[in-house]
Amino acid sequence: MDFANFLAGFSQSLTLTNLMFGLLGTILGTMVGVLPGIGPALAISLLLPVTLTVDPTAALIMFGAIYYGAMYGGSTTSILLNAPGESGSVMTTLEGNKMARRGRAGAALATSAIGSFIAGAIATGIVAAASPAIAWIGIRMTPADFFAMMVLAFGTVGAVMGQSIVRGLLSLSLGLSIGLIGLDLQTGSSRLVFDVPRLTDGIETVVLVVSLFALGEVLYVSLFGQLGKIDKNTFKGFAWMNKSDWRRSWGPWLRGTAIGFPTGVVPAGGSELPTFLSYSLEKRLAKKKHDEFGKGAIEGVAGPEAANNANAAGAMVPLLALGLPTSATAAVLLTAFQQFDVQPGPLLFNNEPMLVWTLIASLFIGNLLLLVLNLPLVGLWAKMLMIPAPYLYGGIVMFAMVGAYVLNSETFDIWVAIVIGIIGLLFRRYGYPITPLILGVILGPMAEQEFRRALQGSAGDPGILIETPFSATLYVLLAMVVILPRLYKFWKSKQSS
Amino acid sequence: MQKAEKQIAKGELVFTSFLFATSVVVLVDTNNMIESNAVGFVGPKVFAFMVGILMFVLSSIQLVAVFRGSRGEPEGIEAGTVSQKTNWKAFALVLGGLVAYATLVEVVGFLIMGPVLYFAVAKAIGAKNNFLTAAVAVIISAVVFFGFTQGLQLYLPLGFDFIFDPAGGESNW
Repeated sequence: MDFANFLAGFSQSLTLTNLMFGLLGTILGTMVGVLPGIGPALAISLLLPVTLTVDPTAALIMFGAIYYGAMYGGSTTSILLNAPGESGSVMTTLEGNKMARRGRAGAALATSAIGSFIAGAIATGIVAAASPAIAWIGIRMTPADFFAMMVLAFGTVGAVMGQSIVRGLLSLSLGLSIGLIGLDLQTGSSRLVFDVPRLTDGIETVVLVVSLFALGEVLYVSLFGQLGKIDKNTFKGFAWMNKSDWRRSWGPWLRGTAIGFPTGVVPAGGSELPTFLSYSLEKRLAKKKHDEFGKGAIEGVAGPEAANNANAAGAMVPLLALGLPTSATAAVLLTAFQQFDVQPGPLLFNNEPMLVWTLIASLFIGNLLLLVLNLPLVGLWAKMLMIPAPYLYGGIVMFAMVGAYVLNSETFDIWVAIVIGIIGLLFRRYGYPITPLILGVILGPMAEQEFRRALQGSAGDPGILIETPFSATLYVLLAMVVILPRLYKFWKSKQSS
Repeated sequence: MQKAEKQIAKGELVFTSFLFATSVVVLVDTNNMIESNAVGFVGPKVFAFMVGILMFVLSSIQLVAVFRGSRGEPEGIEAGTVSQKTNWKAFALVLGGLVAYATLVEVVGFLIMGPVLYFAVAKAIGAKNNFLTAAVAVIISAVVFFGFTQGLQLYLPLGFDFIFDPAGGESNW
């Protein structure tokens, strides 16, 4: 770890402006985590217009804090309502809601907040230590290596997410196609423009993300949704836990962190997988001791909650060090960087040391703020659930429309947003995952650039793509990720028959 | 599997065909592209072809799967359930609100179209109290408008340019 820079970053992040934006981010993040229907990716994309006026460091601090905060807030909803506020909190719902019904909401909320804090602190520490090292490797990577990394990201996200691998990869390829729209940067040839002058600049990523998440969701809910009453558990006062809770929580916290972090670093498609793994692990371990699973076991809350926070932090490593987003939220964060003409990647730590170290230091501070905000105020956050859904959705749509417009002050962008919103609706209806599409749009042009650079260097010989041991290894890995689960299934079905 | 059990999901068939058609469009457009001479070894066509072929193959596979009876599970809704019945009225209200907003926001301004959009969406999702919804719509729109134009210094249309500014220039909001 680059200690001098880290300290400098800390002192930078303690300026009044940066602290205020960090605090604002933690509050907004907790809010969107609590509120159903809004996740961190949508919240950050709705706020992307602020990148037009706010100072880069402050804005990125806010976005980082939103990312962390959403993971905290998501657990509150899953414990108090029987509804996860966020896809990473689905596992928490299982035991957390049962604890709340038995009157143990305080302990469940406390173990998830403290577990999130511990996981966030450990994981952010590893981010600070590991990112420069990975950036060091990144500088030595060839264009072919980078291209292989992106293909790996495409393949795993496409294969892991969604109901079938074909759906995941189709979503990705639609994203890649959308990424083609506009003028080719190197030669100026226009692709998929159809003589529409406005399309020559391509589709704004902000417009795309906002409409896929916000408009797609609202159109979907209006057409198919049935928003019913959900039973609520109320909670007032200070969330805390007793001695036995502490004794039973620390193991799951650490194990959750150990599962969550690495699955955030590699493109495994967000926080669903690690929370599921952590839950199953705790369930299996609990069988030997006092097994409360199914009746509200604190281990089943502590583990997944630590895992989803460590996962969010883990995603920062490839994002900062390689410029490679591994989740939808990280992809939106990458867009935010690009709005400021800051390119995350191996050179970031050399070109923008102040910005990146301030951001990392702010993640530590934000994590602490979240703990302080959450333990005493959790009852207040729960009150936000009283906002009726119609008012919420009205606001989401309005923000999305404003966000689509203010970038270029063109109604054309609003029309584009409506069309993409309808695609988002259809994706939800027919079970296509959205994340691969977004990764395709954002990473596609970058992948093409590396691809062409690599082939330029080899005078057009495609052999260069698999020449380095690094890229060859990645392709083998990709093949394993895609094939192994299927082989396992095949083997299983053979055994049972 | 028995033939009678096979039921092709029609909506999904249309959507999959749309994806298939998109891949054809990508391939045709790439094929018709005029490359300049200075492209070097790999021009703008190669990657576009790769994307088009990938999508063509995948959507063909998926089309066959749909014909053989595969169907996607609709995604869940947070704090609600997915119903089998389609609520076209609510959907039309949201979409109508969006289209009206896109058409009119630069004509009559955000302070009018913002509340209209908010009201349409809130009603569609199930707001009961008309007066309260309208009041909230106006207040939130005003906060957003002044927050963006004054706070963030970003332009949102005030509208009525045809009255205030006959030359057709943009107002200074």
